[in-house]
Amino acid sequence: MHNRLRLLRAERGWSQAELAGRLDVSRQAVNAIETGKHDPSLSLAFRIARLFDLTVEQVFNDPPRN
Amino acid sequence: MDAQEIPSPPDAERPAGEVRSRRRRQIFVAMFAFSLLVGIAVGVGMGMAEDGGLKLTRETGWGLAVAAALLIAGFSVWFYRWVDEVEVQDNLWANTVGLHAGLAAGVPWAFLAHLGHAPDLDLSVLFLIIVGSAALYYTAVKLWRLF
Repeated sequence: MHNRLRLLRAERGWSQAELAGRLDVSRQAVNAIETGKHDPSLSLAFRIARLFDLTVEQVFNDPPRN
Repeated sequence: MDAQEIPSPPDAERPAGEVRSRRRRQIFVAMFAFSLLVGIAVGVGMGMAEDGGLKLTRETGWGLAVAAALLIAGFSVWFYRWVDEVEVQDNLWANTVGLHAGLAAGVPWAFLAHLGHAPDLDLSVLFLIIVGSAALYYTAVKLWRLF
């Protein structure tokens, strides 16, 4: 699943650890989501979207499968 | 749902991410040390029981078995609630890999041994297969996330 987390984080000048603290997850979790190696749960996806004042669809998008 | 309705708690009330990470590491180290002590206690107890230095009644044996089951269940519930979802996912997959490796190796081995085509099932080897495959998967997935 594609996401704009790295871009959004960079816009606010936050480190991965800082974002992790705001989301109450580990830095490894933030890194795994940013690099596309982990799809967050629905609950975490909503927390991320709310933190950036966006909708889930504005942060994450699932490209159509052929 | 309104995207603005759940603001983050004020930064002043929230430990920094680094502090949280340090706390996680400290809990992990404490957990590891506790597991080590339990492992040593179990090993010494088993050794004493086998040597005849420790007499266990049936009731004590059942009590220990139930206590062990409750400890494992309680630990699992606590651990999977406490760690974040990436760690839960990696741990659960590692457990699943270990379980499947144990089944894939143990069942045919026991069957062939029953038919006389293989040596008797060695539980120590089976244990190593389960733990080894789980550890191998866990290490591989952590390295994959790292690079």
